This record gives sequence, C-alpha cells and structure tokens, in this order.
Amino acid sequence: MLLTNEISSQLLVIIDIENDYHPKGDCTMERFLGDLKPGERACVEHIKGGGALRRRMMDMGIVPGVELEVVRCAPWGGPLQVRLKGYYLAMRRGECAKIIVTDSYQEPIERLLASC
Amino acid sequence: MKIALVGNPNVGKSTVFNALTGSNQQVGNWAGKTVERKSGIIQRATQEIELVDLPGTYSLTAYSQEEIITREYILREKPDVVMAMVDASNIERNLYLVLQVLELAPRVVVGLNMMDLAQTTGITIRTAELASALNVPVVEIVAAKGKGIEEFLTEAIRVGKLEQDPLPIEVSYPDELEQRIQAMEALLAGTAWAAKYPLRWLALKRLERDPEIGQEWKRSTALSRKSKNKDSCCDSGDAVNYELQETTVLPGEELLRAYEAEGWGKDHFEMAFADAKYKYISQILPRFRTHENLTKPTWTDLLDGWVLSPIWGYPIMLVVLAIVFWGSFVASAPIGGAVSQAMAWAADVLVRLLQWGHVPDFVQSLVRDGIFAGVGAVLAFVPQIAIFFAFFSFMQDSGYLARAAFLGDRFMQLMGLHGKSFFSLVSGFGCNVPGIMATRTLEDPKDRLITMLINPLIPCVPRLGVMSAVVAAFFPGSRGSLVMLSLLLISMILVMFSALFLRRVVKQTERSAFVMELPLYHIPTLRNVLIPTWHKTYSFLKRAWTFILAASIVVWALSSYPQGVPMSATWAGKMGGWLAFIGGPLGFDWRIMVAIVFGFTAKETTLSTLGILYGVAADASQSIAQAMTGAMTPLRAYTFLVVYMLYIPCLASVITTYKESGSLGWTSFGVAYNLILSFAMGWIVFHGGLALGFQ
Repeated sequence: MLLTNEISSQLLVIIDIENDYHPKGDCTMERFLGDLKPGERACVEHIKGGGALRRRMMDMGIVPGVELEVVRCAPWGGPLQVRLKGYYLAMRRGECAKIIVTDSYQEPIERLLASC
Repeated sequence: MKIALVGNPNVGKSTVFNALTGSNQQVGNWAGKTVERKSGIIQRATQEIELVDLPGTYSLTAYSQEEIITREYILREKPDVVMAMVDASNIERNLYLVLQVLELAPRVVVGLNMMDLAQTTGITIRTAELASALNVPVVEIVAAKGKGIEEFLTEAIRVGKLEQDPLPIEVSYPDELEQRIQAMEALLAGTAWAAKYPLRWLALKRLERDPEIGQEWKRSTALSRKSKNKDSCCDSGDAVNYELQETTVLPGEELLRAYEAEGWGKDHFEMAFADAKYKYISQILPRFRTHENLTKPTWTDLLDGWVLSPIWGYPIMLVVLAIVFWGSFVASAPIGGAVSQAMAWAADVLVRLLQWGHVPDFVQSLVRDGIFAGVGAVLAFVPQIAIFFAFFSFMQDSGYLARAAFLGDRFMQLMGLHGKSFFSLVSGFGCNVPGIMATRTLEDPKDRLITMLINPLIPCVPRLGVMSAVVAAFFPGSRGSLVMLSLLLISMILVMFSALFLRRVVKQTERSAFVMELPLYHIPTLRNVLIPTWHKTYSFLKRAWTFILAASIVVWALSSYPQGVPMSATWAGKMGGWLAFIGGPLGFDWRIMVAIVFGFTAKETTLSTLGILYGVAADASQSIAQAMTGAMTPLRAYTFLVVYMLYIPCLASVITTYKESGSLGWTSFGVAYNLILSFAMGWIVFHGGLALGFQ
C-alpha cells in the first residue's frame, strides 16, 4: 500500500508526540555542544540550567536558533573556541555541556525518518 | 550637556573617548565599586560637554557591576544623549545592547566602528538602511584611524539639542508576550514614574521584577567635577555618591502573581524578552547587512592558527612573556639605575646645603639615609612598572590577552579561578604591583579579590634576586638550582591551595561563567597604550608615596636611635629582640626578625639591611650572603628563604591591593593571611628539617 502524504504526515505526528518533539540526531541521546569536533556546525536548541551562566550566554548571543561552529579545543580539556555570527567566543567544556544542539539545516522530519 | 558613551567591550569605546578627551580625562572609581570611571570635559563652540565613558557591557540587566553602573548612570544622571558604539563585524550582538539602550534612553546616536575589519570577513553594512531600520542616526567611524569621531560627536550634540525626543522603534514581541506587556503598561500608565521614563521600558522591567524601578535617587555630594582642575588628570578618587530618597512601590503586584501562577515568572519574562530582541534583530538584519562567506581566512584566523594551536600556542606564550619580562625588568634596569643615581645625587646636594646651613647632623642623616634612600628605592622601580603597564595595555588592546586567558584557563580551573587570572598571576613573577592591578580584566568581583589576595605569594623579581644570592652562598653548585626549584614549588603549591581555600572564605558559591569573547586582532593606537599607562603609573605613585615616605622615615628612626650604640641596642635591635619569640620556633634570631620587619617596606633592601645587621659594610650581595653563612646553618637559611619568599611582598603591593579592592577589611585579611601562612610554613620547614636530620 502506498503511503500517501496524508497518511505519512499522520504517522509523523504520532512519532512526534511519542518523542515529545525534541529534535535529536539520535532518537535516544541529546547532543551537546561539547560533543562536536572542530569544524562541525550546529544550531543551539536549548540551554540547560539557569542562573548567571545562562544569562551570560544569552547576553553573548547564544540563544535558541543561533548557528555555532566549533573552531578548536584547547589541549588537556581546556576551553572550546566557537564561532557564531562572525565573532568568536571561548567557553569551558563544562559550560558547553549545558548547550543542547541540533544539526543545522535539517528538518526534524528528515532526521526522524533517517535515524530510527 | 552630559553625554554617555556605551558599547560592548572591545568595540573601540576607549579609542573614541581618548581621542575626544585626550589627556583631559579624570580617572577614578565608580562609587562603591571597583570599576574604573572615566570622564572628561570637552568644549565645542561654547558648548561645554561632560563625556562619560561607561564600562563595556553586553547587556543592561542588573547582574554584573558593569551593567549596573551603565544602567544606573543612564537612569540617575539622565544624560542628554547616548553615544552607542557598535562593531560592524559583530553587529547582531551589539544591536542587542543598542535595543536595550533605546528602550531606556530615546536619544541615541550609533557609531558604526570597524567597518574596515568587517570587510575582511566579508561583511558589508549599509549605513543608511541601518539608520532607517533603527530610526536613529548612524555615523561611520574608523576609530583606530581617528576617522569619523568628530562627526560622531557633532551628530550627538545635534540630537542632544532636539526639542522633542525622537520616536523609538518598537521591538515586535510575540502576541502572548505583547498582551502581557500591554496589560502591565495599562497599570503603570498613571504613575509618576511613567511621566519620567518610557512606559514600555517601565512595563518590561516591572514584569522582570526589576529592583531598581520605583527607587528615586539623588546625588548626595555636589562634586569637584565642576572644578576647573584640568591638571588633575587622574584619580579623582570615588565619584558621585547617591542617596536613596524614596521608594515607590509600583502597581502590578497582583498581575505579576497571576502571571507566575500561569508559569510566567520573572525569569521566564527575562528569557522571553531576550529571545524576542534577538529574533527582531535577525528579522531586520538583511535590510542592512550582507555577508559573503569568504574563502580567504582573516588575519585573526591566521594568527590564531599559531597562537592557539596545541603545539605552538604555549611556546609562543612563553616567548611573549619572556619579551615582556625582559623589556620590563631587564632592559629597564639602566633607567632604574639612573633614577637611583639621580636620587643619590640630589640627596648629596641637599645634604651639602644643609651642612652649609649648619643644620644638625640628624636632619642630614634623616634626609639622606631615611627619606632619599627609602623613597629612592621605590622610585627606581617605577620605570619597570611603567614599561610593564605599557606592554599590558598593548596586549589587552590588541586582543592577545584573551588568547592567553584561553590557553591558561585549564590551569586556572584547577585552582577554581578564571582564565583571565592567569596573566595576573604570571605578572606577579615580575612584580606584584602590576600583577594585582592586572586583575582589573576579571569581571567577577570575587574572582578579582581572590586573585589579588593570592598574588603576593608569587615571588617577584626583587625577591627572586635576594633568594638566588642566598641560595648560591649556602648551597653552591647544582644543589643550588634544586633548592631554588623546591622553593618555587612550595610557592606554587601554596598559591593553588590558597586559591581553593579563599573561595570558601570569600563565599563564592556559584562559579562565575568563563564565557569570554576572543576579539579580532588589531594593532592598538599609541594613544590607547600610553594614556592608560600614564594613568596607572601616576595613580599608583600618588597613592603610594605618602606611605612609603612615612615608612622610610620610621625605618631610619628605628635603626639610628639611640645613637652611638651597637646595632643590637638600637630601637630596631630591641624590637627584633621582642619579636624573637615569634622567630625562635623557626630558628630566627633578632637580626632576621629585624630584616623581616624592615623588608616590609621594600624587598630590595633586605640584603643591605642584613649586611648592616651582620656588620658587613660591603655593597655586593654576594659578600653579604657569604657573611651570613658564618652566622647560620643551611637549614635556618632555607627556613628564612621560605618565610621571606612568602610574606608580604612590599608596602606598595599592600597599598595597591587596598586601592584595587576598595576594602580595608580584605586588605588587612590578606596581610594577616600572608604573614600567618609564611610563618606557619617556616615552622613546618624548620621542624620538618630537624626531624629529617638536617641541622
């Protein structure tokens, strides 16, 4: 039986609800900024936690939807250098671990179909 | 007319400010804060303008000192116009601040800087479109070359003189947010505050439960700012103080609680507003900005490829540090020597005059051995710190300092410190005074305080000099280098331990964010290097000279009286005897205690003090050290070195700590901590050594 557009979109809605609509590269794990390798890009989806750190990040331009590129990592577990919107920021690994990212330019639908 | 200069850090504000005010600036501290305050008076065609350089900040919330100061200034002082500096290569984030400023102060002129640098990254901004998108005048500047600055000021004066406030643009908020804002606006519309401040801004802040709105502040002292004292270019001390006159509780409490029940607490509003502003900016961005992705890397990328590379980064940093240290402390030695000689010559001349005038001997001695010797010793090291400040300003302005913080952060993390502390601590090896002053780059006040307090534990060049002389005398040959290394290791371990310990004392529970900008490299202007150097050196001297003069006189008096008796019977000697009970457990006799007390004023003089105490009149440090070998065992010498290395560097560093921290309490704590730690370590070393079988 052919999957018509109508039926496939219904299926996707069901998958969405089950997965709580959290766009993920992998159906089970979240991707953090710290997981990226130099040269990789991603979009910020969400910043975990709150307080001074999140405020600071937002002031510096790290808001949901912005695209980041990891430029390099300092050796021995040091900070990451990240490019966004044409300027550079440095952040510690622990701080990068709080930034949940998604791959850029990919529709959530494509990914869900691709990985599961 | 009052004009305020705002903008992100590294955007070139200081360049514009320095260009407009020249050496006509007043530098001090904001009242009750340890952030530098810079203001200057300029004249333009019969118009007298007070220009205030507000601290660089990314936002106008109320969570960092810089933000609080910027916002308070705009709220309380109500400048006629705000000059907002914007970096063309970074425009989205800069506009985030500009939008917040526009909410609060409708009269704004934007200075668009670094267009040339933006071009190299492929970014072009259409100035006219930007101006129409924001509905504010935009002036193009290339601050580093001095272009456009005068036009910027002229435009600002024009806007300041407008009859009516220009209409601000409205950031479009999503519907559910907009409803709530309007509901709050309706509640606040009738209040007295709504007449004085933009209603929308008031509503936004009320929704965020901002503590500042509703408070009415008046200046409590009419300041010497009005004085014609153009020559006092620096250190006006603490500036305007404010008194809380009244607090009105603005309406809206019930509404806020209703929103909280729906899940819209103040944090939620904060985030929603920030988000909305960024979205608004990305909407209007294409109207004035084009970005081509260039394949050619920028200068910054190329340099960072070396400077931040895992292999080359650290060697490069070592080389840079070596150059800075060499230039500041070695190459400047002739200048320092010349200053010393000039002081000695001046002392001689003065003494001869006094002799001619039949002034009693003790006055001559006071002048030559007390005043000129003591003050001269400190003046001789001013060239060193001035050159060091110049290097520091260069590195900060060029952008290299951020890279050093990036590379050093891993080690700083181990100690619970911020990467920016790295340079401050390393500078301590040269001299603790610039090291302590370098803590200004740290944004969090607690980070700054901790770094300041542990800085004295790092042995500076004068201390290292004395230490190597004593080590060479007591532990000749290769043993000497091992001993030296062990001493430095002790110092490093104590620095780490103190950093972690002080975090508890200072009660820093939440670690400050490291998130730091790595600005594009650029060559600083000469003005941007020389003016801060001049200010820092001058302000240091101004604060320090009275204390150092007093201390030199005291030292002289203690060691010269009563006259004609052997050293041990002078007041200094007796004092050493009283203090021997402290030194006893460490194996120190009265002479060492005297040397330690006198070493408080300046470490360079310790060896000559010891020479006098041991009856050696020689000038060379080597022979003094040799003389000491006859008077004490290697273990005692080692103990002495440990204590000497760790306890307070010098009076100048204490004064600098007081000035930078603004707190007598913390400075005294730092001094006490230093003393106790150094003597405790000395005791451990001495008795540990005895236990291990040394003598």
